[in-house]
Amino acid sequence: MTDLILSLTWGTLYYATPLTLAAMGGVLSEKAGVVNIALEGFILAGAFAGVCAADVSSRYGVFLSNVIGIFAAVVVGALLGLLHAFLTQKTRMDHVVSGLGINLLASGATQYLYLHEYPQGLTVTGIPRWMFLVAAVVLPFIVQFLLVRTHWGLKLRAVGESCEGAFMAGVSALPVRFAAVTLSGVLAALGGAYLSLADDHNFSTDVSAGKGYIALAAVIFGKWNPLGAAGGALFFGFFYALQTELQIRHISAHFLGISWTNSFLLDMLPYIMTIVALASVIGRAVPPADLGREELAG
Amino acid sequence: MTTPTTRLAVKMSRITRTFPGVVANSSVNLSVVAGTFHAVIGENGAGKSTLLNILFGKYLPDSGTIEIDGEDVTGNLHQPVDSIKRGVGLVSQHYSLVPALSVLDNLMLGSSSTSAILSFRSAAARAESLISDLGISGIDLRARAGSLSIAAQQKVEILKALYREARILLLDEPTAALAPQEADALFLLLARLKSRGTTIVFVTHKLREVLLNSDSVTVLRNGRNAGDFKTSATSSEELLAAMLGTRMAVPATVKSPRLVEEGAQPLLELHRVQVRNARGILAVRDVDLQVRPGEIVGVAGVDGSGQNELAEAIVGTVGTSGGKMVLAGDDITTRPVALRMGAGIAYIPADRHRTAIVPSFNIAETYLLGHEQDSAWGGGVVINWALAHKRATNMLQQYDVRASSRGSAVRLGSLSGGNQQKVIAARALEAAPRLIVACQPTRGLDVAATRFVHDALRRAAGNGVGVLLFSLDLDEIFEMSDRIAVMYNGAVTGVMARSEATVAKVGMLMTGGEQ
Repeated sequence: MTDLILSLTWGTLYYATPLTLAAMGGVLSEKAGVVNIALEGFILAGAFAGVCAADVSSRYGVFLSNVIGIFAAVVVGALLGLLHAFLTQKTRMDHVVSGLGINLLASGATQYLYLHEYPQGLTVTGIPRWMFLVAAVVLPFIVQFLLVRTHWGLKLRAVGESCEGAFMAGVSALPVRFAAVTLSGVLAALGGAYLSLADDHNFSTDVSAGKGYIALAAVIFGKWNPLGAAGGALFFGFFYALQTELQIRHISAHFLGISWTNSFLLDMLPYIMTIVALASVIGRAVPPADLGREELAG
Repeated sequence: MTTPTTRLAVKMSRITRTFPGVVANSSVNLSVVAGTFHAVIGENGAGKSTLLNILFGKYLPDSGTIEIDGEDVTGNLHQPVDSIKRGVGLVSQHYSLVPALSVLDNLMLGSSSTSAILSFRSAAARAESLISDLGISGIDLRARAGSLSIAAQQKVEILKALYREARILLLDEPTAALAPQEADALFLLLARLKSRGTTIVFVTHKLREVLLNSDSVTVLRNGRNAGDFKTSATSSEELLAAMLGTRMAVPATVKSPRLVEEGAQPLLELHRVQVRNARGILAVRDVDLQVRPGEIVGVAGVDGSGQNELAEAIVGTVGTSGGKMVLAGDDITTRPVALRMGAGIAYIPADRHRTAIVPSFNIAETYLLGHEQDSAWGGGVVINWALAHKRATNMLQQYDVRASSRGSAVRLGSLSGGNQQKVIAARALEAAPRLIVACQPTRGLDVAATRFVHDALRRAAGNGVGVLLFSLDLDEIFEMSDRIAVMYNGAVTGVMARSEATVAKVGMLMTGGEQ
């Protein structure tokens, strides 16, 4: 029993790690007023860029190749973040449409490059997961401090709540939103690098498997608060871990007239819980007032 | 007039600014002597707000020069921050605080502080000392800005400007949403600021305020200068003549006293009506009110006193949480909107853009909407467009809507505010209503359009229609009403006949004071 609890606890923490990293990106972006379903694409692109760069630089040794891998993931995430910021803020594209586009781009591009360049598959030595776990534990507090205690954070919140109000107070939304969305790309891609470098030590197509959307769900679940979003990530992480444990241990659970040993049903557990959690929190959660709204001219 | 020097704080010369289809400012000049209270007056659409927003850097002028404190800043005011740095602060008509942030956050936002980390303690100390210096009361620095009353938000706006050491304070129609007593308090505060050397530029269309408080006046008409005056050497007649120009000749409509039968069966009866807003807070508290046929009942109150919620409850777009509403003997409390419309309630919503029109619909579609099944509009399943356009064109002529040559095929969104409002009024009146619920029916309209809407409502009342008129404009309430009801904090605090009402009495009730 203690064995089960222990593995559930660690499992929760490790499943929550990429969710938390991406969710922090989600908080920054959405608090600044930019809807960010592109987290999914950031994660996927980060995962591929990370493992790819680590593979290419493998001759420099495990440590250095992983540093290079993480760096590559971060750069790709930043670029995609910049693209999302550009599309939504400069060309005034609908935020959801831009996000969808980026997700499709990331999915198609990684799949093509992977199958084309690595027909035999791709495996790297990787790095221990705890390194990312430490980052995921510390980051929510840093983001919280950034939002509440710094001038930049105040500007960011103002821009997301009322572009007009911020503008009239002498704050222009554009640089703040560009920075916030770029940063969200960096953080989500870091979550992707965790998946490929630390968790799997390889890449498989569409490895993100909806984690970006669930990270966004965690943001909403946490009411756009960094610590709350981290809580949301833990909540969803728990159901991933539970699902895994149930499958590994062949524990059969019967309720609602369904035998939950069926692995397809079990795979659905985290996603079902996302729907349940959001349904219960929506209506009570108040998003930033100018979320997804057009930025002012000027 | 008492200033020893004539140093100019603001000098705007030959400012021209056009918006698509409109020349808002045409070669306008504005000179404001440092340390004075300078009023800019004119009708709606005269270009006052545009001029102010150009000075604040919100709009760039197409041409013209701007000097602030003697420094030529032409072409350097790209955004508000450029003006803020030069000591200009704006209290805008639509308050521009960030509602979700605290008052202190709003003060710190965009302040010139160079440190990355916020210092709440020193910011609070600075704000507190400003507050006590100015003798402002009732501002909680930790409160969410959006939770404050309109008057308190306005104080915070002023505080925000002064927090950034504004020496020139621009105010755009600051008394529009204030009760008379709150407006008096504002003028006291402005007088105190003036005595400390702040230059005040005050935009309004209320002559009384100008005559009582300003040192000098610039009048705008149709986007052009229509005269500069020293307040001590002018009169309301002279200012009005400058504001209205040749239209002065048109006599004001004289209100003919109508006879409302005292014993008549009430058309609309409200019994202890309660409405909760989206957050579950009681926005309308136990309201009792009656409207008789042929009677105009004006509902006065400071913005946000529950007027909108009450109007929507009567029309049926929000549900009540208690009480009873009776229309001509029928209980309509739980009836859906369509049935209430069918029973003779017509609605002129307060927010023209959000709830009254579909901007991309043309005029015929606008009239048709809600009358799809009406045999007068063709009825049936397939729309009879020829009939719809013919009827719409008739209505355009009858209500004097100035659409372009495309007539009833013109999109609503492309009409001016006044013409949009005429379309909406026509729609309400054309439905042969028994009760008209009119919310802010003349907000943003010029004198001619206002008069048109007022006449239309009076004519309806003359034909036995009951009118419930919600307005923030006390002048309108006094001009139009047979009886006046006052709302404060969701409750009706008093109902009186027009003949018994005084501005002081209504103003007191509006702010929750005792009679």
